[in-house]
Amino acid sequence: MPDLSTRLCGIELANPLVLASGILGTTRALLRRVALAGAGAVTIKSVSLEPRGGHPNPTVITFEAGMMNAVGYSNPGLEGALEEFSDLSDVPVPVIASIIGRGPEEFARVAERIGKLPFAAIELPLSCPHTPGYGTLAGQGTPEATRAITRAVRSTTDKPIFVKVSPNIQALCEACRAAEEAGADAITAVNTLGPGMAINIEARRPVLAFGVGGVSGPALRPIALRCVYDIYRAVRIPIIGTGGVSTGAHAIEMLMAGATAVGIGTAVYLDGPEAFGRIAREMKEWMSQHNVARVGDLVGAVHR
Amino acid sequence: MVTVSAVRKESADTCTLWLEGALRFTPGQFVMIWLPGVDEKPYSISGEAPGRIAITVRRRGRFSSLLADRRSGDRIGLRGPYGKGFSPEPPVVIVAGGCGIAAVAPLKERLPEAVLIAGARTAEEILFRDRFPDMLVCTDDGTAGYRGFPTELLERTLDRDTVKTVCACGPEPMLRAVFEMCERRKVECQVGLERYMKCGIGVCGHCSCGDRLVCRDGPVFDSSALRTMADFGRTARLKDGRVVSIEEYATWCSV
Repeated sequence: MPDLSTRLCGIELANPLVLASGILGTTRALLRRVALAGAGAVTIKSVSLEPRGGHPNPTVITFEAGMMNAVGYSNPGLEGALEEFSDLSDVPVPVIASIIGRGPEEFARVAERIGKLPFAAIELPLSCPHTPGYGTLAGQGTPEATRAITRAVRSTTDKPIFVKVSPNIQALCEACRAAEEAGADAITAVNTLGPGMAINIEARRPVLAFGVGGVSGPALRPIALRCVYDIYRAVRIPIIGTGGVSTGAHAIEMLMAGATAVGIGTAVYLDGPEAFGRIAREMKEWMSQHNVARVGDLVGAVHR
Repeated sequence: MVTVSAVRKESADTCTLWLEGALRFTPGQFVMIWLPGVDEKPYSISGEAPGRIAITVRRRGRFSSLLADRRSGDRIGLRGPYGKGFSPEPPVVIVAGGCGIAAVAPLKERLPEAVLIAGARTAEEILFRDRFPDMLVCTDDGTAGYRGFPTELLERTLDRDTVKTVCACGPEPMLRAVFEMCERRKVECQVGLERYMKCGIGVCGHCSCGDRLVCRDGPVFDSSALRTMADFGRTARLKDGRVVSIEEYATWCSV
């Protein structure tokens, strides 16, 4: 029987599939459901210092090659998150926090409090393409900003830090190296692409209320895969390969490109949380058929 | 985009918009209605006719007021139908509170023998009286029908008739009371819930109730699901995800 268990920054995972931030990560009860459906780890929806209502609807739309979203980081704020996630004992897999801020100081303020909760790691999305003040719209993905923010968070916590990068930035590998030098323990690659746009031609208006949104799903997958491939050659820390994975074969491709773990997001739209169990099953079947004993044996296979 | 083919006034603040286009749906399902440049919100499908469906809109905030201002010939955005609807085993009793009757009206039309109990605060808030002349009416103030809550009429009906399934939609404290009555009497219950929605397709997690998503697992939930949903009838989330009591949520929704 092939073994899907793996280690990510010292965190034991029953399988390498990780619920990506922003998908179903709003409550403990949903995290538990996703864990029971077969995820190896789960990530909460990003938390900011103050509550945020996010953009008006429509915030999420689908198109022929995936999904576009401009949710705008709606979240109950730090206090709401502390209440929701202070006890994670009923979630049977490691839980990763995701935090946002408008600069290094705000990131550090959120990290300091969140770091005291029983999260396994803290993810810093420096790469959201649709929220003014945050992510790429605030220049957080440059090597300089990545270094400053990672350092600020590093000084507040001993927990593993994952830096989530954008597939858009020119200096992708430089940003990942900056994160590594500043003390990040892993790179989550990648956030949504773009932003992209869809126009309702009758209304003569963009469909998303914010006008543009991050592209995910099948359209993102080949780009995410290439990013993981490049980052694997640029840094020594592990990578959570995220972008359009919806089958066992896709997940194995990500591992071969250099990912230690694999993020799952938009696939939940097609299958619901049951996507996790199915993808894990498909990985096992493929590994059986190809005499691969451990999932770790596949990591970076394309580079050898 | 779909065309508004007719608008019917139902009460001082409520109207039904008939929308052109055939749509196969199960009563209890919803559609996302988009007013470009304004917002997008979920509405239960409240009626059906060949080549048309209806939604029923009560003026509450800016969006619903602008939607209720639409006239015949106007075009509005529509996606769906989404979610899971009612699937009752007859004999059926339907309980509607306030504008919750919109979600169960097509169910009553597909199950003409079902007993329909409709309650509201006062007579003018009772919708669809012409449409369902046989419905049992109750009002909090006694201005129409029985003076009291729909649960009281439900209890009498359950005492009198053999009932296999109770289907309900309306204010959540009422739904909780209906569910608990059904539990005590070992009758299957299905209720239609409402939560602030963003994606409508089961990915954003905003409309959760317990570990269920109202947009995708619901909006109609049966007894076996309701038993596990601790939030049901108690708490809901505001637009930013903060958890508040169901009463505070209802107040927030109405402004």
